[in-house]
Formats: sequence, structure tokens, C-alpha cells
Amino acid sequence: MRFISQIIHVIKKKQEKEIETEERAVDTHKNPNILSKSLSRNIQSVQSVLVNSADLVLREFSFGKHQDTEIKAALFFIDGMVNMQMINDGIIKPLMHDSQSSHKKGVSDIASLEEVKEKLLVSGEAKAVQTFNDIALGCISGNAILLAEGFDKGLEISVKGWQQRAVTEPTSETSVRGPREGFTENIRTNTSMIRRKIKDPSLKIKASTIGKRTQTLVNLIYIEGLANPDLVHEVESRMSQIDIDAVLATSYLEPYIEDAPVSVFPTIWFSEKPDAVAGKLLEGRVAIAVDGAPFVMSMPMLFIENFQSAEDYIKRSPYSTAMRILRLIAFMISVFMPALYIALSTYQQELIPTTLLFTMAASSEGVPFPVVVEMALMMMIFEILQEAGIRMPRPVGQTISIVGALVMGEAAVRAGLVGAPVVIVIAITAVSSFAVPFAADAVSLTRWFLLIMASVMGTYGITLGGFILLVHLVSIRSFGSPYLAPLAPFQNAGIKDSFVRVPLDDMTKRPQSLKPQDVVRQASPPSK
Amino acid sequence: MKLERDSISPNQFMFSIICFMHAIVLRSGFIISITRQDSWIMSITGFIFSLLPLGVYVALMKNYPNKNLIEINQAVFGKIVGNLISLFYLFFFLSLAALNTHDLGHFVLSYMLPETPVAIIVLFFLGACFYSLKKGVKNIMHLSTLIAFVTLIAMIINSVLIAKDTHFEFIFPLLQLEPEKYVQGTVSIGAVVMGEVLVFTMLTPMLKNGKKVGKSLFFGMLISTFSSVVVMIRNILTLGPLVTVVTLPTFESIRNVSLADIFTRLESIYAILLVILFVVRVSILIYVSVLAMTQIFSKESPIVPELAYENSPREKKKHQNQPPFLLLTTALTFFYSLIVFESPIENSHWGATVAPFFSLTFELLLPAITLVAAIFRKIVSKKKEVNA
Repeated sequence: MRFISQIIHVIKKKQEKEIETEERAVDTHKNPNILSKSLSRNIQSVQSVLVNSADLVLREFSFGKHQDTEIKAALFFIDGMVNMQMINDGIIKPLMHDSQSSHKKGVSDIASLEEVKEKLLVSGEAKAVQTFNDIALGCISGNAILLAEGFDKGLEISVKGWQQRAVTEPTSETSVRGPREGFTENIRTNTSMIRRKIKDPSLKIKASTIGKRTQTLVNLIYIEGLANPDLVHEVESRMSQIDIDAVLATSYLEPYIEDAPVSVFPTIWFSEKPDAVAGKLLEGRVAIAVDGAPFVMSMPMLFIENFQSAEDYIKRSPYSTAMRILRLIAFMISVFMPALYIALSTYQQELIPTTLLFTMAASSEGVPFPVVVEMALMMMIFEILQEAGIRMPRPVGQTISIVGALVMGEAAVRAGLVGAPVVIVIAITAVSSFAVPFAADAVSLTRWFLLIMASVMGTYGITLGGFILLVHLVSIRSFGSPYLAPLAPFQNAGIKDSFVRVPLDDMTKRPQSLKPQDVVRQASPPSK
Repeated sequence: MKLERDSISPNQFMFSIICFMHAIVLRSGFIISITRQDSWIMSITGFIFSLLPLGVYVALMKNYPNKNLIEINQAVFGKIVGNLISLFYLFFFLSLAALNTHDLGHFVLSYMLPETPVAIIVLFFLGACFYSLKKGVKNIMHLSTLIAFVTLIAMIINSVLIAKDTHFEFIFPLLQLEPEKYVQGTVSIGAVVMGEVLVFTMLTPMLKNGKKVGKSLFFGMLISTFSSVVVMIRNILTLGPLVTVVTLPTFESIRNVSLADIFTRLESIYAILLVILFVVRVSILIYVSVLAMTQIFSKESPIVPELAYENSPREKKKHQNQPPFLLLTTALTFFYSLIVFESPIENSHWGATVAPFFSLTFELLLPAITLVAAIFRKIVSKKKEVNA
């Protein structure tokens, strides 16, 4: 009995399964998102999905034969996003002309669109599509969609071709002796520029799409066997967790993947120069390129990278070392100078040489504000001028600099509102902060913090503030690498490319803090 | 704040010992008032004397590898008695933190901010310590290499710049004082300066390579001794008989630097370094107190292993649920440091007479008892094994 009941149970289950699969088949048939065999219905559906799209172009024509009747076809594309010559020569001409000419005997009867793809189309990339969603996405990505009567599939043919900026010299990082090309807004141009620098099959480019509405193409670039797999995995997993509406620039992704989003110091490095990014990849870092952004991010970023420039590796090593130390001094000046001036002039006057003290006292005689207020006022004005100078159109920007320099500086001193030393301090601070452009934002905020510390506690306040800053820097991790490495924690090999830059043949190892898989960069130089 | 394991290298450990020691080495005034021009010899004899407690610590750590002082106490005496003994250590660490904070507060008061209330100075100082510890003691350890380098380089530069003002005859007469003064000097340096390395027995489990603890402790102390000898000789050679009068000989000695009117007033750099060294020192002391408190009062082990991507925003939240001992300890240190001495005279009297015995109780007596108990326990357990 039990055996029989088991058999009945099995049969029942089988029947249920069959019913389920049948129901599913009926569902797909009814599903309005899937293409049908009727061309007119398909055209209507595409037009309804992309309704109110004035730039959608529909070209109807007929080609070849299927069961002795001409095949009616429709080609959809978005005007301005495709290369018209490719459409004419690669799609319409072969279909309308070649399919009927005598030498294409193999295609006298077209049984499927696969055959069209394999034997007729002259295009680098084509794939079958089955849903209207895919068709809409294909169209808005700059591809052409071919639909034909009697086939419930379409073809998405790559004919991308829109106006884009040519490869030009980057404006934010100029180079005297290095390569002059810069990234553009096209991700493929950007990745190709990196590939041309690193002709290694282990250079991997992984693609993903981020942004629910923008559907932006994002590429993860790294060198397999060199970058630490844990790092690659970590970056990938952080990227996969991003749930965002729009990605319009690289910086849209930054807060989602970086370690210290509230810190004033950047933990993700970016550049406009392919050679600089290639250099980072070759050290074992990972890069992220975003379509539509002429900057490529690289991670992990160390604090020391604020002071490095691609030009350093082109110039002679003693000069590069001197420049890096100079940048460090400029950084120190731009962070500490206003605070130090306040501390010395308010709390520790005895540290100022007597003659200088007299000059300072004479020039600030009659100034109605305390030094702190004077300094804060001038710093604020400087920040405003800087912001206005960047945002305004270039011709107006010049006016601002004249008003700023002459009216604010000269007139304020003459009117006796501000002491001349304060103006000089602000000027030196401002110029110094431009020597380390990458950290300029961080510098302007830390300067305020130290200004407050100095005005409350003098040099003691600056010391404590400086220490807090140092602890903050050493506590930051960028994708597992300590931010202040190779200084703290101290690493021997890393020091060779920090504030000193030894000759390239002595840099035999890659930075330890990045934990690369392949540590050795090159063989040790023969003894000179 | 996180209580961590396995995160620093023996070298970083050594440099943090140097930073810790240097904070007090730079302030060698109290010892110079006892043994005058022979004080530099006391640094050497004091170091030799401190090898005794060091030997006890190393022996303890060999018997109980990867355990700190509190855990060793728990292992040797059992949970209840061990924790009772550990409470003494906790008191010692807290006292040291308060005493050092008090010292720093008064240094800043007299040399940098004479009109500011000491409570405000201490409040800002402990604020910096609190922030540093909130970010993790490991970061201070990482920084210590940099700070130690800067301190040593500053010391060398200062010594070179002052060279032209030194008078070699100031070092004589050698060893002419009463012998008991030398004993007092040796014990003072050994206990008050060097013996405080006891604090680091709480941090040894942080080391990547536990076997090198003894080496790191020894070399840390040796380098500190060397620099203290250099500083003391420099102070004696520049200040001469004055060295016993001033409260901060190093400060006064560097004040004399004057080279072509450019290198003057270098004592301000010394003051900055001293403040930084004291932040490191007091931070370590507060951390050790918090660690001791947590281990004595909490049931589970509060120490978390190091994470590869620990600072990622997601991981951060998981490991911040320590009891608020850090805030408590910092607040305790604040009030303790304000009331610890009523007057500077009481302070210096304590430093010269009571301090060595107070320190030695915790630095030598208690660990020695623990070591004897540990050895006894081992012998008993071995006998049991043989009998079984």
C-alpha cells in the first residue's frame, strides 16, 4: 500500500510540475516586454517605451527573402549618438543591396537574424535582443536596433559615434618633459590610453554599471599578479554595495568606497594623466575609471602622494628630492603660518627678534581689531576671493583678482583696518597652499582648526593641535594601507620614494604598505 | 577606542619605550639636585640597577608568553586574588598618569602660559590624549618611531650648537660626594625613570613577535640611558654650578644657544617636543589603566584581533562597543592630577624621598612576588605530575 501511495505521490508531483511549466510558457507569451513576430506590433511597442523622444529615428526598409517573400525591417537609433556612415555602409547597404546581389548566394533565403548577423552585417559588434527594455537601453547607449517581420528577436548593432573631446593636454596637471596626453570623457579612450602604456595581458579591466538612472559604465583596472587580490576583492565588494541614482563624475563614487569620508584629507587619489595612473597600477594599486569623467581614481592613497608629482620621476633625483621637501615646507607654512603668527604675537612675543617685534608693533599700531580677528577676517576674505576666482568666468576672474589684491590688501592696510604683517602672512600662506594643490582643500580647513587652537592656547595649543592632526593622519587607513606610511609606521623601502626620491634604478621594491603580490620591481643595480 | 592585539613590530615597541622614557629623561632636574655634576654617572648606574626589575619582567613573560601583567596575575593567583593584586597596579598606573599630567601642567604654566589656569591647560592636554586613544593606541605606537627620531635629532643638533659654550672643567670633581647620595641617585633613576618600563609589560601582547620583548625592552632602555647621559653631560658642561639651581636644566641649557643670531631661543622647540612626548607618555599610561580596568572588571576578553580593513566605515561600527572606561579614566586623571600635590615644594619633596619607594613597591616587589609564586606553582605542578 505504501509503495502505491508513493507512486501516486510522485505522479502527482510530476503533473504539478508540468502544469507549472505550461503556465510559465503562457506567461512569457503574454509578457508585453518580449518581442513578438509582428513587426508593426514591435515598432509600436518600441515607440511606446521611448515615447516623447524626439531624437529617436525609425528607418523602415525591406531586404532579402524569407520563404520567397521580402522581409520588412525597421532600424531604430538615436540621432546624434550614432555614426551615420556606419549605419549606411555597415547596415543598410549590405542588407538592401548585397543581400539581393547574385554573389551572395549563401543568403538567398534568410531563416534567422543570426544569419543576417553572421553573413550580411558589416559591424564589429552585434548581439541578439529579446526584450523592449534591452532595445531601449541599446538605443540610448548609442547602438542601432534591427527588427524584422517574422522574427521574435532583434539585433543590437554597435554603431556608437557621438561628438567627443579630443585627447588634449590636461589642464590641472601640466608637464614639462613628461607625456602631454590627458584623459577624456570617453571611458574607452581612457582605458585604451592605459593599455597602450601597459602592454601586459595581466592588465585586467572589469566592467560594471552603477547608477539606477544614469547606467554609468565603471571600469575597475588592476594588474593581476601584482595588485594584492584582497585589495581588488575589497574594492570590488565596496563597489558592488553602491546603490546610487546617478554617477556623473568620479567623485560621486568616492564617499561610497573611501575609508574616511568625514576626514578633510583625501584617501582616494585621482589624476587626469594616463602615465600617472599607469605608474600607480605598476606599484600595485587599483584604478577606477568612470564613463563621462576625465579623471581616473587610484587607491589606496597614501599621504605622501599629496607631495608627489608625475614629473618627479622624469627630473633628476636630487632635484626631485629638493622639490618634494620644498612642497612639504610649503604645506607646513600653509597649515601653521597664520596660527604661529597669532601665537607669537599674542602669547610668546619673547620669541620674536626684537627688531622684528618693533616693526610689527609699528605697522599694527592703530589697528582696531585684535590679531586673531584680523587674521580670521583676512583668511575669510582670501577664501572668498579664491572661491569667486574659480567659479567666475575667466574675464571676470581677472577683475576679482585686481579688486582682491589692490582694494582688499593695499586699501585695508592704508586705511589702518589691517596690519601689513597680517596681509603678508596671508599672502605667503596662500601662495604656499598652491604648491600642494592636491591637499589644498584639506589645508584650508586644518588652518582654521590650528588658528582656533593658537588663539586659545598659543604655541601650546598649536603643539596639541599639531599632535591631534598627526594622530588623525596616522589613524586613517586607505583600503587597509596606513595613510602615513612609510613614515608611520616606518618602512625602510618606502622611504626611497617619499620625501626623498632616489634614482629609479635604486627603487628595486614596490611600496610595502600596498602589500603587492610581486614585491620586486626590478633587479638590483650592478655596483657602480 | 579599541583594545588590540598583534599589531606592532618590536622596533615600534622599542621606539615607544624611548619616547616614554625621554619625556622624563629631558627633565633630569630632580636627580641633578642630589648628585650634582656626577648625575650622568647615576644614569648609567641607575640603568644597571633597573636590570633587576627588567629581569623579573622578562622571566614572567617567558613563563607566560602573550599575556600581560594582569593576565599573568590571574593565571598565577587565580581570578580573585589576581585581580586584587592587579588593583594595586591599576592604582599605580593611574597615579603615574596623574603625576605626569600634573608635571606637564606645571611646566606649561611656568614656561608657556603663565596666566592660564592649570585646569584649562590640563584639560586641553587630556583632550589630546583622549582623542589619540579614541583613535587607538596602535597609532601612537606607529608615531613613536617618528617622534623618537625627531627627539634624538633635536637632541644632537642642540648639543652641537651649544658645543662652543661648554666648559669641560665643570664635570670635575668626579665622585667626591657622600656615598649614600650615589645610592639615592641610582635608586631614584632606576625606580622613578627606568623602572616605569613596567607599564610596557601591559602592552607586550600587542607585539607581532612575542619572543623579542626582552630585547626591545632592553634596547629601549639602553638608548634612553645613552641619550640621558648625553643630555646630562651637556647640561652640566654648559650650566656648571648653576645646574643644581634651575628646575629644568635642559631648558636653561638650550636657552644659551646663540649662533649668528639665527639659532636662538631653541628652548621653544624643546618645549614643543616635551609636550608631544608627554602626550605620548600619558596616553600610554591612560591606555594601560583602561586595559587593566577592563581586564579586571569585564568577564570576557575585550581584546579584538586586528582587521585588514579595520577602518572601513562598516567595520568601524562593529568594534566600538567598549565600556566607557576611557572617558572615565581620563576624567579621573584630570581630577587626580589637580589634587595630587598642594604645592610645588610638596611635589619636589615627594620626588626626592618617597617616590623611589612608592615606585619600587609596584615595579619590583609585586612582580617579584608574582614570579616567586609562578615558580612555586610550576614546581608544585611538576611534583604532582611526577607523583601521578
